[in-house]
Order: sequence, then C-alpha cells, then structure tokens
Amino acid sequence: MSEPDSPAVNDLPAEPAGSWSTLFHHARNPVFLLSRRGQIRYVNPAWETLTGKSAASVRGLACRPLKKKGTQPMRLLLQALAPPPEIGEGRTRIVRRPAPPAKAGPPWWDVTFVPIHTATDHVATIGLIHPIDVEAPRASAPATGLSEALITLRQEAIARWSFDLLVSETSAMQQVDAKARLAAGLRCPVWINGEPGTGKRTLARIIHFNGTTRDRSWLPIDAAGLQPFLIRTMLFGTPASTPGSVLLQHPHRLPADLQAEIVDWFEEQDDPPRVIVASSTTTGLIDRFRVAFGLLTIDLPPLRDRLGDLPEIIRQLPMGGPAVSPEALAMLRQHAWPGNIRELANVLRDAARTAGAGRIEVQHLPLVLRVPTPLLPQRPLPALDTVLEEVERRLITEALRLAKGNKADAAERLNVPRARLLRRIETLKIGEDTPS
Amino acid sequence: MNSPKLIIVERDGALAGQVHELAREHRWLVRECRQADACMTILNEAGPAVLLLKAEKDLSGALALLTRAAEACAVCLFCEEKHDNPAQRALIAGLAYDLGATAVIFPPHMPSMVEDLAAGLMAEAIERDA
Repeated sequence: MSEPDSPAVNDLPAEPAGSWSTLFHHARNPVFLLSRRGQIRYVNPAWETLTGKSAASVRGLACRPLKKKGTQPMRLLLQALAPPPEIGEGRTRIVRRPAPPAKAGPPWWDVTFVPIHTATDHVATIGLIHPIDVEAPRASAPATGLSEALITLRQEAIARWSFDLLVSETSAMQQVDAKARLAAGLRCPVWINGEPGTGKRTLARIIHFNGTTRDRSWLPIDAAGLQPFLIRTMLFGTPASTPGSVLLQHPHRLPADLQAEIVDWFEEQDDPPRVIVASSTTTGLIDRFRVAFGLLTIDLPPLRDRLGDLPEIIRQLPMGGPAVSPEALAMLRQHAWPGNIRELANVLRDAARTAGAGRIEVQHLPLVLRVPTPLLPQRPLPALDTVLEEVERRLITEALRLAKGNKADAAERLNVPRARLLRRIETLKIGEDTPS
Repeated sequence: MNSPKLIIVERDGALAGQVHELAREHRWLVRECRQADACMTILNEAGPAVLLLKAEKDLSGALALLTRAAEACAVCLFCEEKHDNPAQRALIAGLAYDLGATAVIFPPHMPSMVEDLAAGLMAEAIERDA
C-alpha cells in the first residue's frame, strides 16, 4: 500500500514530511484520508481489515451521499465515508453511520471527520472510524490482582472522565471534542494548549480513559511539583510495565537533558505509551521535544470565550455543582475569569460554604465579582537611563559625603577606579549645585 | 492568601516528624488527622493544600480517601507495605494514579525525599492558588 502525500497542517508544529503518514499507517484504528473533493487518497491497514477492501481498490473513489437508494456494498461504504457539509466550513464533525453493508444500523460506525486546512483553503479531510458494538466498553481495571471493592472504586472514579464533559455550544469546544475523540482513537502523542485552569488535565484523562490505551495504566507527571529524580523514577524506573498514557504537565519546567531523555525513551519503546503534553507555553522546550510530541494539537479555549457554557460547567464541577440563582449566574457571566475553570471552582466552593444549605445568591459571591473595580490608570514607564543615572548620582553623592569630599576615598568605597569616579562626577555634574 | 496547609493522614506520626522542620521554615500549617471526614473538612477550607496520605493496613480506605481528596489538592500516597513484587507495586501505583494520586511512594520513605516532595508539591499548589 502506498502512503499518502502528507498534507500541510497549519495548526501543527513543523515536522518531517513523513510523520503523519507513518502515524496513520501504524494506527490500530481505521483511518482514511479524503481529498478536498471527497476522493479517497489513502486508507490504512486497519481500515482495510475493517472493510475487507484493499487500498488499491478504493483509491480515487469519491465518497458522496447517494442520490438514489443503492444496495451495492461499495456504494454503501462510500456513503458511510462521505464527509458532512460542515467539513467544508472547517468544522470537525462526528457522524454516526450504519456500518456497511448494513443499510441501517445497528451495527453503527461513529466516523470522525477532521478538516485539514492550509492558511487559505480546505485541502483534505482525515476520517477515523470507531465501530460501535452493542455497548461501548468502559475502561476496565488492569487485568487481575485487585479486590472487587477496589475494582468498583476504580470504575466509579474513571467513569467520571467521559466525553460528556466536553459538551458545549461553542464551536471551539466542539473542535476540542472532535479532536479529543480523534486522539483517543489514534494513540498518537497529543499536545494540549491552554491557559492555566482551562482543564488540560481533565481533557488528558478523558482521552486516556476513553482511548485505545485505557486498559493500561495512567501516569500523570507534573514537572512543576516533582523533582527530576522522581520523574526519572516514575518514567524509567519500572521497565516491566509501560504505562498506557503519560501526561506531562508543565513540560517547560523539565531540564533540557530530561526533555531529551524522555524523547529517547519514547522512541526506544517497542510499544510506546501515548504521551499527552499539557502546556500553556512553548518557551523552555527543546525542538526535539516539541516535534516528537506535537503531532496532534488541541487548543482549549479560555473560560471567558465560553461563558454560555457556564451552567453546564458548574453542573460538572467535582463538588457536584452547587445551585446558583439566576442573578448570581448573571454576575458570574460578567467576570473575565483570568484563572479560568479553576478560579470558578474556587469561587463557587467558597460561596457554597457561605450559602450553607441554600443556593448561591449574589451576596455570597466575593466582592471582586460584585463590585467591579476600575483598572488602575496606566502610567508610562520612566526611561531606564534616567533611572540608572539618578541611582548613580545618589550613590556617588552619598560616598562623597561619607568620605568628607575625598574623591580617592569615595572611589574606594564604591569599588571603582578613581579616574572613573572623576569622569562620572563630571558627566553627572555632581557637586555643581550640591555641596560635596 | 490563606496559609498553605500540609495535611498528613497517618497513625504513627512518622511523616509528620519528617516534614516538621520544613513546614516550620516555610510557615505552613501542618494538620494531622486520622479520619477521612476530618481530612475532607480541612481540605474544603480555602487556600493551597497538599495531602500526604499513608496507606497502612486499610489500603481500600486510603484509596477511597485519595479519590475524594484528589479533586481538591495534590495527593502523595505513601504505601507502608514494601510490596517486593514489582507487578504488585505496579498494580497499586497504577490504581492510585487512576484515582488521582500525584505521586506514589513505596518504602523506604527517605526524609529527604519526603521533604522534596512536600516542598515541590506545595510550591505548585501555592502557584495554582495565587
């Protein structure tokens, strides 16, 4: 099977041209690539296995909705792979289609369509097929050795991390949802961008616990809170059990040599884990690290850009979602939330404590939300040279005072050569208007 | 800002003894408790917090508390049993991470490592709370 021409993807870091095709070729989920006009340009081996069709037999065929009712298996297949119209508008979509050769489900396929754009144009579409069985399996416990009580505890804990947490009215979050589903199915490295408090760790958990590696362990590593030796122990200390997914938070806090070690470790694995990087910055990262783990990027929008989702976000908070009055909710919508969902959770936790058993009213919210404070007027910064000269003038004047006007003594006190002090006295005109 | 809290759940006081000096130096409140509900009450107070949780004989109970507490703060789980079998260690650590642990430490609990962990996690908690 030939591998596809790699399309340029404007939201991905620069990378070797073959990376995308290599990634898809070895993916365990069925993946296909359509041209702008909907013609099949590439399918991976998993797709061939699922459909029973060879890549050569489908390459170039157009995937379009049928105008007439058809029963031929190939026509039903092409219809199932036809991208919905929103793809042309740059929007990612997940569509449930009857699984060919069935004309109506079940069985079903959930087909994720992700448009690929250059700076100006829609150039291609990536499709990912999730066959739906009777019931999508939930994450299960690692094979054996746990008591029934612990298995139940784990299942209850991880059941929380479902795609339902990403339901939103905003297109930015719909993109996040679609890309997360793509990431969960592909097992490729994922790079989550977002301001602090936007829910990067939550998104990473959703991808892991609903993805292809969910039956293996989850290893979260926060480089901001853990020393490098601990991180090395967690990552490289147990070669017998490679985790299913590794979350690297605050990677810019990792020393450069450890960043390189992690890339080496990832590339040396026969069956590498899914690496999920959660970062709010790309500074302090070596190129190898960014290229190795930046294959699929997901941008989490800040809370201020999705205030329409506030009721749903509040309902999903770990505390169980306190009841909030409409007036208080309106006030919450007026805040800019620089700390994003984390700030919201803290505010509501404190407000719920104040409110006691009742719902949260306006008076339970912190003052900073109730009384909008005007921003301090911005004053222009003074010129640096002016400030430095003033500091120098004061130091020299003080040294001369302590030295009772003796310039050699003053130079010694300032630890500078006498000649230099004399030049600075002359330049700064010290002593002309002040007694030395 | 509210005072940072280092919450320690254990029975023998060993962890508390290891971080006492560090907490005094940084002016953190050290809150020791044995009951899960008492721990959660402290965690529901405002301010940055880190939980050092020792899993003693009741592993299930410790993991249940870990599950509840991990939503509110960083939790470091210290397993008291050595679990020489690497597979058993991996199983317990994997479960703890699934439930939300930030770090899982098996014996020996070296004082320097406990201090490093507490200091690093608290610095991060303070930054997140700011």
